[in-house]
Amino acid sequence: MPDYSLSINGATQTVSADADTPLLWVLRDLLGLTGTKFGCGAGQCGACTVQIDGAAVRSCQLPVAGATTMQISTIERTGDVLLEACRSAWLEEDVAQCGYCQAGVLMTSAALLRTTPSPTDAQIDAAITNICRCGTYPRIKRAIQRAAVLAKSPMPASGGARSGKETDA
Amino acid sequence: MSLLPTNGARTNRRDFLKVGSAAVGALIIGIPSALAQPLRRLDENGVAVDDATRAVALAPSEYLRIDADGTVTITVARSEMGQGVRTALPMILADELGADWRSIRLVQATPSPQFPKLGTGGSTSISDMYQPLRRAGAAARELLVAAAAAHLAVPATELRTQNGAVVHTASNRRVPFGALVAAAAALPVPQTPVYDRRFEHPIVGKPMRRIDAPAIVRGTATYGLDVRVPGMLFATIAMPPVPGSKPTSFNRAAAKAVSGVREIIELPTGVAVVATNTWAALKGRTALAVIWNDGPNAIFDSTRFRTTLRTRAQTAGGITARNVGDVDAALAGSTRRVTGTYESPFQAHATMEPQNCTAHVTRNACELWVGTQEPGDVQQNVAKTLALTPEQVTVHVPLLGGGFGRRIVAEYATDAALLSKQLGAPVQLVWSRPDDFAHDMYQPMFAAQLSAAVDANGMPVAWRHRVASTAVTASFGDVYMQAELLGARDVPYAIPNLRVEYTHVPAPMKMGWWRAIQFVPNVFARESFLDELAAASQRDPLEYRLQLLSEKSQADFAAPSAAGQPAASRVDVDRLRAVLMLAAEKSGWHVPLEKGHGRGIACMSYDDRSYVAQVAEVFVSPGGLLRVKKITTALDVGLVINPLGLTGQVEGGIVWALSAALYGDMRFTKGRASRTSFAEYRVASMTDMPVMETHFMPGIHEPSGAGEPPVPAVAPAIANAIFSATGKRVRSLPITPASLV
Repeated sequence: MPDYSLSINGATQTVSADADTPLLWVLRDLLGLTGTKFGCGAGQCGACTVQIDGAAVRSCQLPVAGATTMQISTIERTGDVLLEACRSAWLEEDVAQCGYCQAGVLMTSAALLRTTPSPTDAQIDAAITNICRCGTYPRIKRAIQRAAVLAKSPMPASGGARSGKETDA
Repeated sequence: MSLLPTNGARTNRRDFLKVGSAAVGALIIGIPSALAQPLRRLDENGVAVDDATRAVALAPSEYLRIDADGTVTITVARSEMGQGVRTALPMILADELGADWRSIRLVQATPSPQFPKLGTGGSTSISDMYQPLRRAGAAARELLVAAAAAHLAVPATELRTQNGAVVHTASNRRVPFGALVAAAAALPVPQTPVYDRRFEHPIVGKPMRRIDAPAIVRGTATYGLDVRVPGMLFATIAMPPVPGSKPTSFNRAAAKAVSGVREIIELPTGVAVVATNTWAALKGRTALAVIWNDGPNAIFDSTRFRTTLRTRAQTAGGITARNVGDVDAALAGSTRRVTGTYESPFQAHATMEPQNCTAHVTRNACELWVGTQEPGDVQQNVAKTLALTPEQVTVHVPLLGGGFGRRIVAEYATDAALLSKQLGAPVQLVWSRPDDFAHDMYQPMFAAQLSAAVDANGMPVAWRHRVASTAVTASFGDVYMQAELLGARDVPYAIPNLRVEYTHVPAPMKMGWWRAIQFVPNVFARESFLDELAAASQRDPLEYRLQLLSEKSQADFAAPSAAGQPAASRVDVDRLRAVLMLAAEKSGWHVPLEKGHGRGIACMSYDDRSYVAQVAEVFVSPGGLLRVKKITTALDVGLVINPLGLTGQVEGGIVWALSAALYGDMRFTKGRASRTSFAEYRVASMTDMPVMETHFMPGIHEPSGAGEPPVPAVAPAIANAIFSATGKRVRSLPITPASLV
């Protein structure tokens, strides 16, 4: 099993994996980066979307062997201006319901803002082909518009401080 | 401020007072509670240990613990699947307590004698939990106020709680909850606390953002599939494509040859592939190339079955579920009769997170992590399968990546447990997306024939509603007609002669609960047909409904039925009328539209708790292309706990309904599900979104649920709008362009 050196969220990680292993499973099962979600494994739902050199890519369709020379960003990334702007807007608009698809939508949205800093509704419609069964589409659209504004402000706020840590009763 | 001395207010009422030493010598008072134990935290090795910094606590109920540092810990006894219970339920308690919302910490309940009922479904979380949580908050508040009264030497009546402190306004003094914990914990827990609503609701009714949202947007929220246990393996399972079929052969060697595959294990439900990662397991599952002995169900064809169902709905012979007056005579005696047959297909849930469960079975215990709506059932079923006691089975409930009723049953949990037991290692079992589609518990296929006779004024004098469907309840035992006929049997319109009949036509696949359950097809049929009657009588559909909504409609509901079944919930027709009028007003019901555009209205009550009316505005092109332009919703769920979450639920419910109205259609060919990907089983996307406008009625009633009520009226409102725009009547779902040309 070959070793691959991957640049993920600015750090280099080495994994042993079969060449055809999709990046999704390398992230989730080999590197423990579970923020990237498995939805369909067929590139149709967008839950697994990451950024490769800043572009939205469905990681279930990208074999690890093809991801070695590029900059990979996942939902765990911190400090990226566009992603932080999207996070803040997501919190402001209270977008997430179950939240499972949102990592993919966030990565897609941040990639959209990179190429299209002021997207129209039609451009959002065209870019956000992710599936959300909770039906958060209207809030996603509002949040992208809000993030576009936030990203242009000097200091995009980073959202909320709640850790989400807990124990069982 | 120093901790207060324990005062002497002990009583002999042992029900109220238990003083005992916890492991670290803390004084813990109240109802025996898991929360009364020192909280657990994960140490640097990921092992759960007692959190000794939280030794002294006030834990007057299983739902609440307040620590000396002021942290308020609230137990959430319902599963979070996106409906917002982990925000809304704590809001109720925190509001009555007067807590500082920023100091709230959550604990997710696990099945135990303390929490025997953790089921999440039927839009009941808010209505069931409102009183218990408010009571818990009020009891704790009274204890804290009593302790503060002693400390400040003022009457308790002069004190109130606010933002995590007891406040004495006259002297401008403020004692934080944490400083009162020790003294309050020594007092008897009041059993009938008085709700404090002398003041404004500090939290309830305010738009509160989702408590889990920060973790979600950082990718750190834990769903079932994100659970990681040291040493765990990953598995998937090849299951019979035709219900009841068995494997005749499979290529074990080929599957084991896949890099990373460890074991091939046959289970009663199929052939499992266990590997060191999910990808290897999925590849191994393909390599198995299982040959199945299809058996008798391989003849099932959903297109043919649809014809069968339609025929049964159009034929007498169903079981009568409600009978008022003499429908047959009234129909026979009328010259003005209207009849329509309505149909809807099987529907998949297609939760974004495929079904999964992580299990760790050791010699005398089993630990499970499963995003389920019924953790208690999982505990019981797994205990039975492994011959353990329920107490030996711990069920953790992480976040659910969508529930919608699918996760009321977690049949795969027993598979995960069996695999872990056999492997002697923790294992995460996940279904592939095609398997998730092919092994869903589907929304039933449905047909209903409605027949009515109208009088000279166009008002119905007879109403016969014949339903035939693949009963949901048959998957769980006997067919329970009341559940199959929700929205049909409880028709709220006053019609002197009325009969509702039901015929169960079995299908080989399992049926399940689906967001808004059988209200969805029944309300589609009822509200579409009512629109047909109004049209036939050239009456405005809104005015027609308002005229028919009368208490008289449910005179026969007062007593339990002869079969001993409880009386149905009585619809409050005034509340239904009010939402109809509000939806009409806000949608501009009477404002004329351009050619090709139309409005339609529909309404429903979810039991007697939640009331909704919706107006759809559509455009239909000459080529039959449908565009849903706007949905206006008027909702009465009583007191609104979280308006921000509630609006999200309404929008989500509408989108769910749009998916079903426009696309949802699971097909079976040769006994097999034939739409097993999102490419084949289409759901609503960003481009389908109408404008959604939501209005709430003032909350004068007890709060109720909203996860499902916004769903059922959407499809008939759209169908009625299409009729208004084009004169074409949609009687079959999903709505296809061909049917609109």
